[in-house]
Amino acid sequence: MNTKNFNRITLTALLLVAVLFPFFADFYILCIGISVLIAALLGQSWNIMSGYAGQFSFGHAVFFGIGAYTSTTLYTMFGVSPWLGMIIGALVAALVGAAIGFLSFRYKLRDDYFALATLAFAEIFRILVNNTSALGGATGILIPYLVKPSEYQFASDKTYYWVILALVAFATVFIAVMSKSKTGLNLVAIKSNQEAAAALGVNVLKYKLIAISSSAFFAALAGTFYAQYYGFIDPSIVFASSISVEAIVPCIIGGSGTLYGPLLGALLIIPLQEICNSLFTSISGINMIIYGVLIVLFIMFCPDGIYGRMTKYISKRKGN
Amino acid sequence: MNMQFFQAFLDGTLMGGVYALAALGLSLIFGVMKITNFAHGAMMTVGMYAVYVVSTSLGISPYIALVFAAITLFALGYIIQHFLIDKISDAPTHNQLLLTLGVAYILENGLLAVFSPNYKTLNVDDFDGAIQLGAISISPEKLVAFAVVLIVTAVIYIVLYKTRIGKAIRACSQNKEGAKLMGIVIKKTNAVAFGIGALCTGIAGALLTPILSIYPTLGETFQLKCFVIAILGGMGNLWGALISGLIVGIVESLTGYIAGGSWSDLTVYAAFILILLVKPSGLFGRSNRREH
Amino acid sequence: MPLLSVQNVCKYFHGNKAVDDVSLEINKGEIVGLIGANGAGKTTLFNCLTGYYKATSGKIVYKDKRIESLKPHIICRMGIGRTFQIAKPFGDLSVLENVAVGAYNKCKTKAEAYDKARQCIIFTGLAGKEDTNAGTLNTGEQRRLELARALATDPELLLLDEVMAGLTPTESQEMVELIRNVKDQGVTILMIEHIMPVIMALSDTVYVLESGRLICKGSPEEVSQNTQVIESYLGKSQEA
Repeated sequence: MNTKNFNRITLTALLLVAVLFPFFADFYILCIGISVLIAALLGQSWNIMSGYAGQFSFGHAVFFGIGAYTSTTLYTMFGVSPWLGMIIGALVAALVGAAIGFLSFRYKLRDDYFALATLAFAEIFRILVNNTSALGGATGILIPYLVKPSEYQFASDKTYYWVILALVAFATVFIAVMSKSKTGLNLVAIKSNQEAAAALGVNVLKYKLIAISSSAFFAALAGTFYAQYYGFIDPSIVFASSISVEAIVPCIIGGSGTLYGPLLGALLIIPLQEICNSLFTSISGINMIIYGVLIVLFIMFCPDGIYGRMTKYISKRKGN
Repeated sequence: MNMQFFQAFLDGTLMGGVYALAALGLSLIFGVMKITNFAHGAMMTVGMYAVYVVSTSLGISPYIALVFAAITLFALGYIIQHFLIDKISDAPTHNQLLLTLGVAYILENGLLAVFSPNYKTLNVDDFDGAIQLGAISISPEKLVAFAVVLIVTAVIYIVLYKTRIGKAIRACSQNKEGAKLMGIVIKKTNAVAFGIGALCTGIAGALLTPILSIYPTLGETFQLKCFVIAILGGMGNLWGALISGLIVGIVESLTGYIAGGSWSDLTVYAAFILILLVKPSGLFGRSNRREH
Repeated sequence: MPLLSVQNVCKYFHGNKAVDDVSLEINKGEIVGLIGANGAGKTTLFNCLTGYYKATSGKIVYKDKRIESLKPHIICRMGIGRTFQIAKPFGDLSVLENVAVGAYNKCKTKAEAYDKARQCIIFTGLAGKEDTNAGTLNTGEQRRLELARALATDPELLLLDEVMAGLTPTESQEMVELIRNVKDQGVTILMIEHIMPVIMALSDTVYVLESGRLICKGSPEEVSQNTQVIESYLGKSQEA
């Protein structure tokens, strides 16, 4: 009981800090805060499908890009509010995810082969959009900035911050509820051993599809937010493999398959990148070198991630 | 036959040879270590820059600088396997995959930090213009590249089939436990195999340097192609990699000729997914995957 | 009418006959033993019965329904549970959660599923281990967990693949008792087993597989006196 209360108090305090953060941050710091939250949302998205369900995606950019392009084209071509566009984009991404998943899992792709397939799908989408002039082609789409909250455009970056914070909170609550439910148990069971799960009556294909669809849904939310916040998208940005990696890294560093791991991971990696970028302004690519070094270090010495290592340590101490 | 079609076919064959060499390296690494090497493209770029640097600073022909690139890449591959991947050989496959991804980021962005994202072009004065055969023109750089690919492949086959370390590599790729029992030192064999794999992709990169303008992320494009080829040929199947390299080169060039450049990549990736789904063991039969 | 009837089932791998024209019947309430040397096709037959492999030919009829082309999870829901030769605990879940995965098969609510899971845990003698991480269990406990999970799916027919493997003599004895208790709950059992005394003690009927073919069927006494069986199987195991 005591630890439960303690957890609850810590969580409330942290949430309060997160909500009030814009009042204490200057513009630059606030921008970093928003970047952290975008990475956190992508991370949580990847976490569902790859962390919990163990289906390793290397092409999360495909869902991010679909979210960004769906809401943006609906807005610029048909005047649909990006709020609605965001939901539609997320649903489209979920459908595409289900289609990719159905093809891959139906043909029993696993591990590296599945990861390669997701990578190829992301590339295919990038090339398709790149060559579709109706979608702006390689030049991309510039979103007119009209400052209308009803159209997902705000005067202040503070508001953008709260929107993405709300989306991250939504994803985290979703995962919290899911992980304690039948679905969550089944996903983790599938990750451990899908043959054994099937022997216990788990419809493996169905649950993998649930995982990839809900994962895609959240990645697409991040995509729409990105488009609205930066006001410009093109295929080489939103379908880039670096987006796919940005979904993975917070999970690896924080701990994949844990509720708070990706949040912690994003909170560490993004500011670290920013610091390095500002320290070595003359050297391009230094932030990505940091990515690389951290990936190597964590995979080699702390594959459970920071949060994962912490919880394992605590539960071990409890066990003894 | 339409001469342009034939031209595209020929170009595709020559480029396909270079793809084949890089994919051969990838397939070898997979065959022995069962690792999908996501640093393959970045290692190729390292090969490109090695040639560029040596060739421009010493003022020598890129085809001599190539030897330097080959040695560098062998050492790089050996080090990556020996000091990094080997340490987590018991970890789940996706962790090993991520490790190579991390290495790729370090290499690629290391190049970016040192050489800036600007395109670099190597001026080759070994040749005087394209060779004309009637309506067909052949780039001498591509022709030489193809010839070098043939030589390097032959040497690698001799190494794999005639030398002790080569036989050890093949034994490891077929049955690791058995190889261990025969007294093969797995650790060293793996590192050499990774070194040879890296050397293949490095030479492929070196051969492309006189043909293309190079930049730090160029290898990424070729990496996915290598995956396509290696899987098409059957991961771990070296002959398969060579033949599918040629196939991919030709298909790419012909779709480029028929439908325009940007669609050629699309065709290759779509074919890739199809192969993954329908026949993941590749065109030529048996697979390295687990049963089920 | 038998609960499960296997009719002329064959399974080929690349032309090798792993299971060759096997027919057998299991009646409700029985414990049926399946013995044979390594590689005789026992586990392959199990995999055909539970939907992991599709039989190359032949019929599998369970409670009047053909099941040979159904998926594993459907077969489980129809009431056939199984364990695996190599225990496959879900290492990231607690013992209770492991069993709950099985219990959700028939239970609608979370409370119901966890109740059922707790019962199964107590029944298999794992009480007190509910919150332990399943990955840290020892071999004996893992075997019990396999059984608890399978029981939680509420099977009418339970397929046990070498549940004694790796157990100490005391643990084996306890497992034999446990299997008797399972039977007393009204569950029909088909078990693969290497250890003859176990088969002798438990089975009502024994089938013997050799190189994919059934070579003998009968009561444990009959089978143990069959000369062909002694030569091909028991004799060999004594040598080993």
